[in-house]
Parts: sequence; structure tokens; C-alpha cells
Amino acid sequence: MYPAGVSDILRPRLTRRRLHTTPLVLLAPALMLLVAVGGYPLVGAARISLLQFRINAPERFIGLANYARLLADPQTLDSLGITAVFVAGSVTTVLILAYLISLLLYQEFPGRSLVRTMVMIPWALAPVVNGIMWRSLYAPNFGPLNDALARLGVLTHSVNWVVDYPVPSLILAYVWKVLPLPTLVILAGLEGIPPDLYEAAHVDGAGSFRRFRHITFPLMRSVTLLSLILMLVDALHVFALVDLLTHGGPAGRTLVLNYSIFRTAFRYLDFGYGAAMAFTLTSLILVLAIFYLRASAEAALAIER
Amino acid sequence: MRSRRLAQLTLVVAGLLVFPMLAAPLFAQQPIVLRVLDEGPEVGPWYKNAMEYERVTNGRVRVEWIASPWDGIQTRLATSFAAGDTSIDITKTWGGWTNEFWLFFQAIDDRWPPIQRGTLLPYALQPVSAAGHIYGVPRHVTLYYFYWNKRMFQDAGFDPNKPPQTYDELVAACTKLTKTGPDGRVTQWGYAESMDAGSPMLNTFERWLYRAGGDILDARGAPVFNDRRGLRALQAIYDLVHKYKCMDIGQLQLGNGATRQVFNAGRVAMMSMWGSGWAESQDPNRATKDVIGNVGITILPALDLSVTRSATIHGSEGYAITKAAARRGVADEAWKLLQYMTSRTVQLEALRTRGYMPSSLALYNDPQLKRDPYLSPLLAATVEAGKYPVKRFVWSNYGRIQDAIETELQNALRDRKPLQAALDSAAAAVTHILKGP
Repeated sequence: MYPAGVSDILRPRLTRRRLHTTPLVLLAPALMLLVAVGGYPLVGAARISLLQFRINAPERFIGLANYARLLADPQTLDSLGITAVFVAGSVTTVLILAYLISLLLYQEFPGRSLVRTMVMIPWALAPVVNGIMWRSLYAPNFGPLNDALARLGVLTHSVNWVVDYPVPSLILAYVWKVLPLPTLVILAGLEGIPPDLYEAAHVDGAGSFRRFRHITFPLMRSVTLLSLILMLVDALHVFALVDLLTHGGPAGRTLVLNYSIFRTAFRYLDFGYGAAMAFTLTSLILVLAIFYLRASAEAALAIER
Repeated sequence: MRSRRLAQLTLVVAGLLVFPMLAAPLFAQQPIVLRVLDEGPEVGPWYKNAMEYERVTNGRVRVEWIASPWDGIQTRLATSFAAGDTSIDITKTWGGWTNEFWLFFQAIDDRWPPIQRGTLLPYALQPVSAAGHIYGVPRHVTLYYFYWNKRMFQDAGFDPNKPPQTYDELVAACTKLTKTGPDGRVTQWGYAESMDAGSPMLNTFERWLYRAGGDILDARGAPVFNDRRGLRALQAIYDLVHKYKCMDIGQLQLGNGATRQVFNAGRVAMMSMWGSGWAESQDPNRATKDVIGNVGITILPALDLSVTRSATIHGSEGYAITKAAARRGVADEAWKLLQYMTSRTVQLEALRTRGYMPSSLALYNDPQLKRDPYLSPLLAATVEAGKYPVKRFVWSNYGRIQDAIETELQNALRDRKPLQAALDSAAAAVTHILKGP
């Protein structure tokens, strides 16, 4: 197999090197596609972010000026603040509701399978459909939401949801759409906990809350972290809902960063600055993605143990 | 031997028969392909007519239609031109886009004799003009009109054929026509105007501003909309919502389509709307039976009769030929296609089916159209509106300026800022934008 004269020490190394090349060769087509579809635009955006790139003027290299402008631009900082409020509000709401629903779905009851299936319905809707649906629901005066709440006696006058409560309205529409996925992730985590632990705790006299605090929550830490990061990344991406429901208004009160990037590049035709904003958001999401991968690995390990 | 020869002969004959069929496409003259970017076929007759053009030219020209929603056209143009893409030969345009993208459009001043341009409505050329040149052909004109529900007027004791002519008359009708149910919720609003972000809010402000005798920018290009006339205009809108409580503050989240829906559902007695509101209010698929046949259309009421009886904005649109078409050597064919797509026949079809007014002056004097019971009210309102200011604000940084003004207008209407402070903030933002980077 090896040429004559090759020492015994070298043979194992040669064998190891040959074995490691094969996976790379097999992965090469997929990696090339990833580089073409993902890497090339990323590099292109990074390049544009260093230029003054307006559609009606020749492009000009300006270094990090766009990034410096980002740090001082009141509108962008406002968008960051709105994004932070939206992300914090929606992620917290999603996780709490996901936990509650998962705990309910974890119990045995007639029709549980049907209920579990129905829980998935919002997730199956396209984001555009979700946006149109909630725009109709929130319609002032003659919208179904106001009508239903008035008939139930909850409201004595119609509420202008989007005008008076723009961010909460956006959060509600968003939470409704994305709730199923973390619910399923948490439910899968719950079903991975050995029932013996609960039985033993029950024998020792622990109530529901103590069982949750000392068994469920600690064992679900990795899965919770996984869901948290997943939701953070998704919430930072929100676009279609804002475009359809509020257009970033009223008066810019729902101008989240992703939508602001779109407006800067495609409405204001300031591609350089828009690219700098996009690159900053992408970097933030990339950091979260790295945490997600680590949390994912830890969750897998926890399940194995 | 004989059978082999027979087989060989058969093969040769078959080949002689099949080869021309296979080779013909290679040698046939390829049609000239023109790519048109516009909204979908449902918006008007232009798609249908563009598709017919291939038959008209006996296959010499083929039109590929790139359909996109209104907002998507602007994004598509921005992306295409920034990337140096050459896939669009003709694009729909209006004043805002022409001012933004004229560097990528082909000027057609030399193709279009002034005498022919003189046969159009005066404001029809604005959507296709920029930097002193003409970049396209007007497709249709549309104005903002005043609509009222005649049956609601009659039920409230008003003359159904006498719409409000002044702001005071509008307020009187509006307050009386706003009704609440036993639970205290409004069941019918007196008046509606779209005030959503993304152009309706600015359009609404413009209409009142022009009726107050004001303007967005002065002759030097400096913002003047925060003067006393701008304040008067904003006050007029504010009072309808907060003082007279006959216009829903929720209009801040309703665009043109949603406002038409509410009117056509019989939930609003009066509205200001584009000409498309006329066609939709007569359409059984879009309006209730209580609305169909009960709608009147006229010019907008005055804000101050000492200034002007009326004023309105136009939403005229056209088609522009891109420089990409010129580089591909198809600009001449594109020009011919545009002449076909904007012919009088097509203009008439757009008028009948969608309520889009023709840009050709001659059609307004057509006796048959004047007698048409469906079209004559719309034509009459357009002719009447033309006696007063018909304007539309457009500028090269239109998107940014629009958003800056709309943000402050909405702040004022939501009682987040005093009216004058909001106007001053908007003016400061616009000044900053106009100064440039």
C-alpha cells in the first residue's frame, strides 16, 4: 500500500490525512453553493458599506464613515430602541406563553393530538397572510377585534389599536404567528425528562410548583436557551408584518431596524448607508447564531445524558 | 439488399422532411422583445393591449410584462439601476420616480413634437418630466375628488344633490352624518381621508395646504409648508378628528384601498379619494347595494373661499423608456409600443373600466362621453377641478422628504406635538435633507 522505505511512523499519518479529505470533497458542492448564495452577497454588502453609494452619483470610497454616521444618526438610534423594545416584549411573551402551552399539552387529555396539530396553524401561515389578517382584525371601528370585544362587554368604545398601541399591536400579531415553534421545542424538551424524577418528587411530597422549580426548569435550561436565541434571531428579522401592518408608523413608532434598512436603501436610495446598517444587524445576528449553535450542542448533550 | 436500400431511402426522405421543421426556428427572424415593468393586469387595460401588440406587429415585437405591486416597482427600479441591470425597457412612472430615476431614462423630447404634447391636459406631462426634459408618455391622469353618499344625505335631511362647497358646510354635514350605536360606538363616520404613512398622509395634507393657498417648497426650494397657511391646513384636518369628531383618528392606519372599502361598505358618508373610487363605488363586487347608484362626485370643498374655491392633487402616471432599451437598440420600438399603449382607444378603455381619466384634451369634449350617465359625472368633475390649482409635490429626494413630513403630521394628529411645533420640526428635517450629505 505504501511505497517501500516509508517508515512505520509516517504510515498512520498518511492514512489519517486521506480519511479527512473525503468529507470535505463530499461537502464541497454544498459549501460552494453556500459561498455563492450567502458569502458573495455578504462580501458585496460589506464593500458597499464602505462607499458613498447613491443611485444618482458615482460611488466614492469613504471608509467607515457610514458606520460612524450610524452611531450618531438619531433616526437609526430610535430604530434600535424600538427594535429593542419589540424584541424584548415579543421574546418574553413568546417564551412565557410557550412554556404555559407546552405544560398544558404535556398533560394527557382527550383530543390532545388534535389540539397539538391545531397549535401549529399560525406557524403554517405565510408572514404576508398573517400581516393582512391582523390588519383586518385591527381595523378601527369596524374591525372584528373591536366588534368581538364590544359584544363581550370588554370594550365600551372602539380602540384604534395600531394608532394608539402600535408596538403592543405589532407584538401581539408577531407572537401569534411565531408561538408554535418554541412551543414544540419546549414540549419536546419536556417529553425528554424522565417521568421517574417526577414520581420520586411526588412521593417526597413536592407540589407542582416545586417540581417545576427543581426538576423541570433546571433540566430545561438548555432547551430554553435554545428557544430564546432562536426567537431573538427571528424577532430581529421582522419585516413583512411591519410593512403590511404599520409601514413603520404611525409617526415612526414601529420603525424597527430591519424596516429602516429597507427604507434607507430602497426608498431613500442610500445604498451605502443601508448596507452599513444591514451589515451591523447581520453581525449581531451572527453572534446570536454562534450562541445558538453552542446552545444547540449543549441541549443535545443534555438530552443524551 | 433491396430492403436495405429501401430503408436508406426512407431515412433520407424522413430526414429531408424533418430537418426543415427543426431548423426553421433557427433561421426564422427572432421577435424584438420589449420588457415592460408595471402593475398587474387587474389595474387597467394596458397589459391586455401590450399583449395584443404582438398580433398587431405580426409577431415582429413581443412584449414581456413584469408585474409588480406599486411599492415593488420603486424597489425594483432602485435595485436594477443600482446593479446596472438592463432587463427593463419600459417602466411605469410617476412624478416622484421620474425625479429619482431620470438619469436612467431616455429623454424623448426630440421624438415628441411640442404640438402633440399640447393636446394633453397641462398637468399630464408632470409625471414624466424632470430636469427640464420629458422622459416618457403620460398614461392617464387622476385627481382627488370629493365623494358623497346621496342616500345618507337624504336620510339626514340634506339635499342629496348639493354636496358641501366649503369647510363650514363640510363640518355641518360631517357632524350630522356621524352616528353612534346604543353601545356608544360609532356606526357611521361623516367623513374619511386616508392618512396612512407611505404617501396618503402627505397627499391629504397637500390637498388642504393648496386650498389654503400654501405650498410645500417655495420658488427657491425652501420649505414653506410650516407658515400660517400650512398651520391652517393642518388645523382643518385636526379639527375634523378631535374638535368635531366626525373623522376617525383610525384613518391614520388606513390607506386609500381601506378607505374606499369603508366608504363602499356604507360606513362613511363622505370621502376624498382618487378617481378609482368612482369605478369601485359602482362595482357590485366592491360596493354594497346601498352604495351603488347613490354616490356623487365633485371637486373638493374650499377651505377659504377668499383664497380659492378648490384645489386638488393629481396622481398622473406614465411610461418611461429606459436607457437600457436605447443601449439594446430597441428604443424606437419601445416608443412605438408606448404610442400604441397610450392611444385614445386605450385611454377610453381605462376610463370606462377603471375610472382613469384620459390625458388627451379632446376626449373631454367628446359629446358621446359627455352624455354617458356613468362617465359624465367623472368627466365634469375633472373639467371643473382643472379650473383651480391642480398640483403635486415631487422632488429628487421625495421618499425621504415624504417620510419626514408624514412622521410629524402624524405626531400632531396623535396629539404628541402641538401643530406648529410639528410643522416646524418637519420643515427643519426637510431643510436638512435638501442640504444633502
